[in-house]
Amino acid sequence: MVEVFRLSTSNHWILYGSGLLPMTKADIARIVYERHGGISNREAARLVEVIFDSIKSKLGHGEKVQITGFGTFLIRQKRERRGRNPQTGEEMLIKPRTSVVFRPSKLFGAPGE
Amino acid sequence: MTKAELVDEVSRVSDLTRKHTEVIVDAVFTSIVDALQQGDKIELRGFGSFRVRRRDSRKGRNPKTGAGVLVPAKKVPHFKPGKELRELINRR
Repeated sequence: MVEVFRLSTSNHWILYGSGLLPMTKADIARIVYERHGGISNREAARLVEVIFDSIKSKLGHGEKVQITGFGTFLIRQKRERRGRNPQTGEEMLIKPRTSVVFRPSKLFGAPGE
Repeated sequence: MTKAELVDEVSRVSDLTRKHTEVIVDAVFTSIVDALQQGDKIELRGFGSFRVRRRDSRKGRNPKTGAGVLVPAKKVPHFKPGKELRELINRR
């Protein structure tokens, strides 16, 4: 079902559940602000930023990040492989690279049902 | 890094106790799970995006008995790292 909410922290409308607009850090900060109750909007936004920066920095050092009840971010080495430019069909060599994969926790439940 | 270590890090750069910080960290991840369960997409600038991907049904096998079974279609959460994160981990 599509519901229209007005955000207390900003002036734009969001259609939740419509899949039209993605949730952003600002939306998460608003939820954090409401759930905690004892911090300012601005502090909530700063802490959301700190959380994702911290995870990012750990991944940047090749460390895995495991959040109970949510999931695990892992660093994976991808081998060199042959691929094709989907536009031209031209064959090319894809260089080895490092990638992040997310393994959702089993507690995640079935999404989008 | 575990969630407990993340809570420690966040609590170090705020005036909040560990317990209060934990409420905040939990709220962040719960909000993402809730949004995905509603079928919404989450876009975190500089980090990446989460969305729900449909996995088609497929033929599988019971590893114990070897009997063929049909694994039903399901929806799974998917994370796509953002440009900044991809560049960061490929710098090493």
